[in-house]
Amino acid sequence: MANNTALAQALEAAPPPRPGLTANQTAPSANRSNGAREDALVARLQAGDEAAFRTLVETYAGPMLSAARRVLADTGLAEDCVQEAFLNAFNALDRFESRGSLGAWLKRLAINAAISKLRRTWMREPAIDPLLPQFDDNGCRFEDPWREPDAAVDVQMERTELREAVLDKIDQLPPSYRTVLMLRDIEDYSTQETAHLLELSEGAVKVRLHRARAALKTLLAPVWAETIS
Amino acid sequence: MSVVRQIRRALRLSLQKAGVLLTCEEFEAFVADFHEGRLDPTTRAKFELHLAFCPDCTDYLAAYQRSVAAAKSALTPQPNDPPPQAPQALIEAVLAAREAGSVAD
Repeated sequence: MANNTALAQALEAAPPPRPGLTANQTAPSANRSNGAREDALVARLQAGDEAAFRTLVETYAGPMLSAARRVLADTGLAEDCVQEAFLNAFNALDRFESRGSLGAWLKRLAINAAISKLRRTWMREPAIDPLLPQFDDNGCRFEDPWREPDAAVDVQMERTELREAVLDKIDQLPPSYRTVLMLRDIEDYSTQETAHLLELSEGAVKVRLHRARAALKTLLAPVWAETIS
Repeated sequence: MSVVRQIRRALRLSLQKAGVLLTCEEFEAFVADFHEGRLDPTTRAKFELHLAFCPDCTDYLAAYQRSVAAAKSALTPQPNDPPPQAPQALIEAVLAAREAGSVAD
């Protein structure tokens, strides 16, 4: 059994959504039919309907696993997080208010579980400095000339092998930087939300985000070069 | 390095030494805010002036912005992608754990 402190921490970082919170936490108005389906599911869950629990897990385990996998870059650990997140959610379902987004809440619980797991390894992660821009004594940048690929990024990303190459490079970022990149640039968390989740200052989040992007730029250089030659 | 690039570099160095132009290292500090459209007008003008003289930073910024866009695109489900699926074993394990009333440490 997870201890009550761990559960309280997970839920404190991802409380059941309530009206008036950010777009990440509440269902967009354009998604009303989805919201209505979630409301009905929540009502069945809160009434203890066994089939509803299966529907819940079958519906949301995939997106939760995908989100946790992005943080951890490890499928096995991500599966552990999904399990932990669901069990935390089951214990908090009676507090869930149906006007929030169930899917967003569950995904957030999975991300929180992944971050919690990841934080234990941050002190041992490789340095990012070799991937950052280099400058000479005059403050001038050392930079290889860049040739913009002809195709737009979205068009290039339709190629499966290129998309996989980009995902592989993202996985090569040191975990704490990859997590900031994922939360800010992909999940659209605010700087403040990210800082709260990662227990960092907002300034530290901004620095990590920029370094993560700069390091990714270095890692992707050979990928772009291949698309040109 | 092309002759044009060398000339621009020499000009840039002299302007940097005169304090008119940001160095590349100073420019670097503003890249993220520029990307997010958060620079105030004065800083943005200094940033863009540096870009006008610095092909290295122009290349760097283009590659930086493309990398951010690529990450977003690669990690965002495409319209034709099937929804992400979890292995059936994981689904059954979650349901079994719930039934057992146990929560993993």
